[in-house]
Amino acid sequence: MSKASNALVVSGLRKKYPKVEALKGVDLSLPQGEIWGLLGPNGSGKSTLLKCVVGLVNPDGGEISVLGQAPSRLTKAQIAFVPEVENLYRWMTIRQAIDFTATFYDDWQEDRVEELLGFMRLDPTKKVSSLSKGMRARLKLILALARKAPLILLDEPFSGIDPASRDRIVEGIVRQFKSEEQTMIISTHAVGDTEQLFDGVVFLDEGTINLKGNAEDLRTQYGRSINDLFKEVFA
Amino acid sequence: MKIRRITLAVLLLLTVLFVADIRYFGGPNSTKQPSVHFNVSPGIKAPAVEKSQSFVNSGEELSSLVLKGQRGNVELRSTDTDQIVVHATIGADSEEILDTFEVVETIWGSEIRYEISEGQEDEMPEVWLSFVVEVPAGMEVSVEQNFGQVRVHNFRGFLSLNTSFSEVTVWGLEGTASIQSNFGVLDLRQIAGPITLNDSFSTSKVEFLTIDGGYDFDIEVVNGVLAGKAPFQMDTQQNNKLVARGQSGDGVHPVVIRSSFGNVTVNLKDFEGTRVD
Amino acid sequence: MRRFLQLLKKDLQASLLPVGFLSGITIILFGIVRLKMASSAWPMEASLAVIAIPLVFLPLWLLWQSFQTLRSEWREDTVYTLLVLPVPGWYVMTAKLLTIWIEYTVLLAVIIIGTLTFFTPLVRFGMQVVPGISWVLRNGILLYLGSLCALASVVIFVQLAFVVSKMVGRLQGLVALWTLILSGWLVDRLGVLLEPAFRWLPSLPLHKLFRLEELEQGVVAEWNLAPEIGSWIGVLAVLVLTSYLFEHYVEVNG
Repeated sequence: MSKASNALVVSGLRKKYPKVEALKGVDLSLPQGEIWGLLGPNGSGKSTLLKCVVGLVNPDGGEISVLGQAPSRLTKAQIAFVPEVENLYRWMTIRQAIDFTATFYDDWQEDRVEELLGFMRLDPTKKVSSLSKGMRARLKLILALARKAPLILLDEPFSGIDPASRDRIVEGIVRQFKSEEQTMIISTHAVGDTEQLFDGVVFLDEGTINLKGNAEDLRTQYGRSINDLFKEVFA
Repeated sequence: MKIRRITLAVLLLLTVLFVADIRYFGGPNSTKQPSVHFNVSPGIKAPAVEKSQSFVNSGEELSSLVLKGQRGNVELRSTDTDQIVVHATIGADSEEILDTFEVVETIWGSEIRYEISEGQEDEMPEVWLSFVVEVPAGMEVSVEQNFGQVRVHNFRGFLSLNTSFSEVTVWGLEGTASIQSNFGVLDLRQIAGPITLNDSFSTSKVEFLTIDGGYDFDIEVVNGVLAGKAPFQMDTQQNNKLVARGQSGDGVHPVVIRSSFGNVTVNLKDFEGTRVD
Repeated sequence: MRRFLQLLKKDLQASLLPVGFLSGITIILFGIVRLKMASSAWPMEASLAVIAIPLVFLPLWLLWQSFQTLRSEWREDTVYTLLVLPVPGWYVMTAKLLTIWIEYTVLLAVIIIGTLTFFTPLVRFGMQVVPGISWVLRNGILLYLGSLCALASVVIFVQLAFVVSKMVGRLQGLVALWTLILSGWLVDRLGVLLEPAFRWLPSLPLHKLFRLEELEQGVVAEWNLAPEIGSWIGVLAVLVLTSYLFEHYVEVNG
């Protein structure tokens, strides 16, 4: 598969923090138009990999190609990234957070915003600081899904949120994802109910890839669900 | 980790350069010219009306002359006669003010003094006082002058100048000079003898003639610039201080210069060494 | 431009609370001093000293604020938002610089208006020793513009210090402080090095600019621009470097 037809190509990616080597030469290529699960336990390097792709940390070695381009300001405009941390300005209202984000992206779709706000059951006049963790997670997702970004990266979008919010987020992803135009990578350590989302999965452990493949093929090959496979690999 | 190492390496390199700069060049500002220079305006407002007074005294029993001028010019020269000749000019904005002032001559022992009389009003109006003076060679002359010009030509004797916001020109001096200047411009040429110069916020240029016994240079410039062509070595010290020491000949005649926030240039005529900047 | 203005708006909205708080404190302080002066409870010297507190405190607060505005992005994890925006680094840095300028202007205006309102007799007394209102306005504006330049250089150094501290793993506070010292020194040296190249520039006659001759005859103050130009080029270079590092090399907390 050529670089151009891949949404993301990573080769020999290394990243070392002062106390730990987070990525130990990761090679990966993910095709366009699919939803991929980046699976692994805490500290396996999932977040670091996504941060390298989006430019939040600098790799120590290796190469990254996002939609055929090296990471730059141009690729930032093509990526919608939802980090695991609370990255919203707490003094903003939901509407202000939406308007703020909308200014920076040409692929912003205002009509989608109203639809998503309604679906996610969020009141735009509310302040971010007054929202529950689940509501904030839903707002972050709105800010990513309201864009027609070719590459969407969701870092632990279900971490620490209530089941109701999780279901709504999963449903939101399914409804908004446009497979002919977009690619999505979801990193998570809780596969559970979300495995039906994935077209393909990558198992990452201590900075190296254990397993990678089409979700359906893996289920057939190993005769069990991705969730069970995950539990077995990382037991 | 790579970028961290590069960052730390750059910081380390700059630290080494910083320490070397402090150690060998005196650190920041040590060689930097002060940005703001104070100077004296050549165009001081002229008085509307003037009157003159002249005084002639024998210099046989008088050895010291004191002149207290203001907002005007002082011209001083030595002559071969033994007469002290003083032409004083008082200026004011109006006749009424002018009438209330005059130049007062006071003799006290061997000292003769010229200054303006005290006015009748509580508040002193703007009054100009200029002098043109000739004194016998070897006399001690002390001049105080604010806001004006002091010109000394071919002076032989002991000269003491205390000026502020003034332009001082001394062309030809045989004897001893003690000069204090704040916010001024000093141009001292053909100086032959020991000199003590204290200035602040001033631009001072001193040119010495080669004389028997030579000079002993002791110069300190704080927050300023020192340059010149004379036999001294310049050393940069802490607190933006430049120190220069050296001798010509036997170093008999002391040259003491203390300057702050100013430009000092010291030259010794016919000196063959290199210029110091 | 729209994106830059949005960043500026965001920074300005974030500073509403601290600026509002400080403005309120200043007005209350002036009110208290006014009451004390009216009742002759405080000697004039003490009152003047207290009136001067906000003006003395202002540069320190601005220095802290220039550091704090970046620090809060990391502390509150909003740097994740900032760093993924497809904008050049100088948008972020100059938006923050402009915000500091506006904060300074607002607080200065509060101090001036407060002084004029609460201490009118004092201001009238002060006006007697200066040539006139136009002289005060002209020189006030010139001093204000000068202070903006001085403030900008400090903010730019602080920004570099902070960004560099985020590029090392440990001892970030010490690294920031040391970078601040080194950058100041480096810019100073650059001024000295480039000074010969700008000697052709005429001196700036400060006495004419500030109309000092109206205060005292004969005073001439001239600003030798040659060593300053190099330093200002250095400050601009620091801004460019900081923006570049911020866009390309700075990292979120690991």
